[in-house]
Amino acid sequence: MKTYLISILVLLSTSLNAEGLPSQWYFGEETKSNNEKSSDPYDIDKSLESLHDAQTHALKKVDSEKSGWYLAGMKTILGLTLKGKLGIKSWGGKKAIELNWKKRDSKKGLEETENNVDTFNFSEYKSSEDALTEIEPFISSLVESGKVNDEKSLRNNLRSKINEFYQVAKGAESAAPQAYRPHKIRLDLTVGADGSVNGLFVKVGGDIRLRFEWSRKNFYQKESETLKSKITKQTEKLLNGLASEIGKAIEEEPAAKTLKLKEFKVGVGVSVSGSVGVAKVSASIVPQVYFKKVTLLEKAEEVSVEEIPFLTDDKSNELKFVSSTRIRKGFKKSIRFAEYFQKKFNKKKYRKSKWAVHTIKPSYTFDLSGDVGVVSLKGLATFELAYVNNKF
Amino acid sequence: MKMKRTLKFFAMCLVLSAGSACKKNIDDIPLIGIDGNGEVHEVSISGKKFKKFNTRAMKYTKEETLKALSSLDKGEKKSWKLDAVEVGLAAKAGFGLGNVLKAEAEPAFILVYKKRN
Repeated sequence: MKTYLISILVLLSTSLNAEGLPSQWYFGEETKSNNEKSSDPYDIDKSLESLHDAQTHALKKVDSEKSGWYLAGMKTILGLTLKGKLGIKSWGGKKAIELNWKKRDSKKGLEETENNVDTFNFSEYKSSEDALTEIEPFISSLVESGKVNDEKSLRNNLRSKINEFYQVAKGAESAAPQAYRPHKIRLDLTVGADGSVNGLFVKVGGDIRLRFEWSRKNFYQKESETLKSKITKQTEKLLNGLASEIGKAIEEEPAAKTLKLKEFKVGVGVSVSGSVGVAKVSASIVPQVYFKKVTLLEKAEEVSVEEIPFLTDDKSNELKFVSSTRIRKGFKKSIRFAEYFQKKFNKKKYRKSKWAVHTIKPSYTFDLSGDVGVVSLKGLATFELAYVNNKF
Repeated sequence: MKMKRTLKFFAMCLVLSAGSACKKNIDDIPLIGIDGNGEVHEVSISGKKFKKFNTRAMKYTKEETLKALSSLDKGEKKSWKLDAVEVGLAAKAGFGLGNVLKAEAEPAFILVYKKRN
């Protein structure tokens, strides 16, 4: 009798343990109807242990030989199914988490490797006209090579993107000195043969790619308020609000003590009517603003913003406002998730491994009620945060 | 007696269901993604099999990458200097996904090689 009871209890506990990512960490329109547990046996802890074991084993094997080149690190891309299974994202869909692996004795971080792409550096241009002049040889070379057959369309499309990017960059430049500050803006574009310009690099090879980039210089001249355009003013306000809320969230959230937020990235979109708001990273063209923690040379400014504007995904492309308190709450939740996930790669038994997860980059989606969740395969990311493992 | 028999039956059912579930282990690693039609697909692979495949693929990639990089180093002098390379590895081949998916495999692992100073 006892034997049967024990076996039942043991088996019940086994089946209860077999589950994916707890549903509080993800949500979304696309998951509402599918928010049920997978019936397959799966345990997130065990599965991630297998992944850790396989990755560290392989990294150790390929790291042994000496040559002029060395393996500095590896990135693993994970995706999340609608039923909470976290797996290796092997084909289409949105990335949920990126893991950056590094050797423990390596001092250098796994900085982003620059892609071989034509880049236009907007921090060097004094006006959008400067940028247009700089891009002229690029346009001419595309037309002369026959890769683009509609020169007028290409010029018009690029002109509009340059003007918009320039104004967004000016807004970032004017952002108030706070603990987190915009330090880079990037817009990746793909040019079609008909002169169309699309966002994001989606395929490998064949495409004509170009990049707009702006990075902060410490010696910039603050633009006078009267010269700022509507887009510039709204961008400045939006970025100030986001920097303020993430700064406060880190101060207030106890879980933030075990993590170091290295960088956070957000898509900033401009609506047809010229309004600026947080935009989900979709197929549309959205500049990505990168914030990082800075050591300020000047006194930090107290910024208080009541609401953060979001651009809706629907055709109306309108602004919806979310209270900054809700945004801060969302950021806090994202910190708690990062802590939860970081623990999975900081187990005692991994400490002796030469290779370890150095940076965790979860992508989150915010809904208009202010809730936040890890983005699923079918979702659209709003923010990406990069946390450095403090126990590395 | 009846209670004992019921418990025995219940325990046997659980043993059997757990036994059948063991075909898919809880430590399996899911490979997931969306195909060209927007459908989510997942294929689970045992941790052991994945470890073997991953090590083999990374070893092969390393050999090929270093071969290509050393031939680049030996080539004619260029005005630019290559000091970092990213190599993407896709986890599609060999896992039975075959032609089931119309979507292109995307790199799930990106190896970053840097030049020694």
